[in-house]
Amino acid sequence: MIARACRQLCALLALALLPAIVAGALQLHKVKPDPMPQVEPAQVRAWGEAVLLVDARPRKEFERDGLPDSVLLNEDEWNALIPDFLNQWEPDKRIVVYCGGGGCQASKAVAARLRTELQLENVHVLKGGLKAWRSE
Amino acid sequence: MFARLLLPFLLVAAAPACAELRWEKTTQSFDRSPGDPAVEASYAFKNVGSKPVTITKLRTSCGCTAAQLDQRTYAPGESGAITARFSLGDRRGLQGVSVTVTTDDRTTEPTVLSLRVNIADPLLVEPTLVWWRVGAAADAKVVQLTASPTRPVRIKSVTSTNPRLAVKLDTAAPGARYTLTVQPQDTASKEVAEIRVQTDFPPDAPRSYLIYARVK
Amino acid sequence: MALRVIELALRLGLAGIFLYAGALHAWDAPQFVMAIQAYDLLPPDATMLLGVYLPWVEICAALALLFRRLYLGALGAVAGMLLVFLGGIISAWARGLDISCGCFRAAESIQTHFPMLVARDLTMLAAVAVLFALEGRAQPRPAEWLMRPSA
Repeated sequence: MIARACRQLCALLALALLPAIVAGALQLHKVKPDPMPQVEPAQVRAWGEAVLLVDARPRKEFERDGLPDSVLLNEDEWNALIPDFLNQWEPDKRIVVYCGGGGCQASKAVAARLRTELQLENVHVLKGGLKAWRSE
Repeated sequence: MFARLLLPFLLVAAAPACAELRWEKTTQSFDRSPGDPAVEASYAFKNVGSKPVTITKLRTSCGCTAAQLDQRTYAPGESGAITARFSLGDRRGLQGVSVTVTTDDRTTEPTVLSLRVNIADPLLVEPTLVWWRVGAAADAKVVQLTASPTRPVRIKSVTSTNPRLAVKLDTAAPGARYTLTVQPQDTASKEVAEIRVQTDFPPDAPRSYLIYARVK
Repeated sequence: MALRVIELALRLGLAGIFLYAGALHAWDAPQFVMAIQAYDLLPPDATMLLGVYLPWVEICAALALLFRRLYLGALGAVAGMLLVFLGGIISAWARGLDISCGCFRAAESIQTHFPMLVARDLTMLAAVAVLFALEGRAQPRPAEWLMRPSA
């Protein structure tokens, strides 16, 4: 029975491949992989001062417990906050965007906009966010 | 004997099908323009069960979304609606938020109400930042401005806050494609400029776009 | 007779769930890819390939369950997928992630009711185990159009 199940499973997986290839050809151009490199807190600490920390959370949370020397840049106030971000940005600094952690998407959204709109290259997302930063 | 052991399991497996709140729609999509402050969506439901249902928790996926409810408990046959308000801020592109609705019915999982908004900018500006290193060649850098083919956008004026960074607008296709060239006089020292592109769209409140130029 | 009814109910129930979920995911592959990304377990390319392939495995397994073709393989596929989903949920739970329920809803980043998700998947796994056990007992099947011998 086990051997029969395995043979049938292989047949099923092969059967699913054909429509998947067709669907993939039709839809893959719409599927954007997550291109944002994530960086561990330990790595960011090792980079030392060559880092610009960007807080992607709402203003209240940034004012409550934003990381020292971080700059606020969120999608709520993007237009108003960009000039201050650019004042602190230096070409040789790595940009590390963080939010609360636990899977919040704000840091990825802000990092994606820095890459696509401002075409900045050295942009990373802090893996695990503030939660991971503070637990290390 | 085996059958009797399986019956309770079947009842548990069938439980999600007996959810007491029936929703008209759990996903709603909208189109908006940049500058629109918010989107509101109403999610109507009805208690189709035989017992009152109390909504115990409304959880939104982000602080930019607020959810409102007129009352918490709904008698059998009673209808209600949850209003979700998504503050758009300066967001662009396809956005999605959700409201998770939990009731006092422990046999059903929470309902997720989805709100999708496409915030389409009439003019695409690429990139919004041009920059040079101090001491590097003061080459001209190009910004492309592209409008949607179905919605022409005309550029009325281009101004720079810093005369040391010159700007020049070229029209590739009126209403459709423009090229903005930015060039510093030199890169001997740090410079800052904000370049404002004023358009004629939308007619009631024409938008302007900012392009940032830096010598760093 | 009771066992046959239970077998039919479990088989149709599982087939219905996976057919619905597979169709939903296949229709909106970009959203499904985002749901898998939220688990933060796989590299981007693997996420994309899985997001496109998995819905069709779900649909084929569901149809195989429904029409009793490649039946054991379908049970194996369903069990495998449930174990993978369960592993992903438990991993996300342990890491404190907010994940979307990628099974039945559009992908949004939400706080999830983890115990309920785990309970749901365990219930379905138990259903698969029961169907395997019943297949092993090789019960006679009355309604032929639904219950042809597995290929």
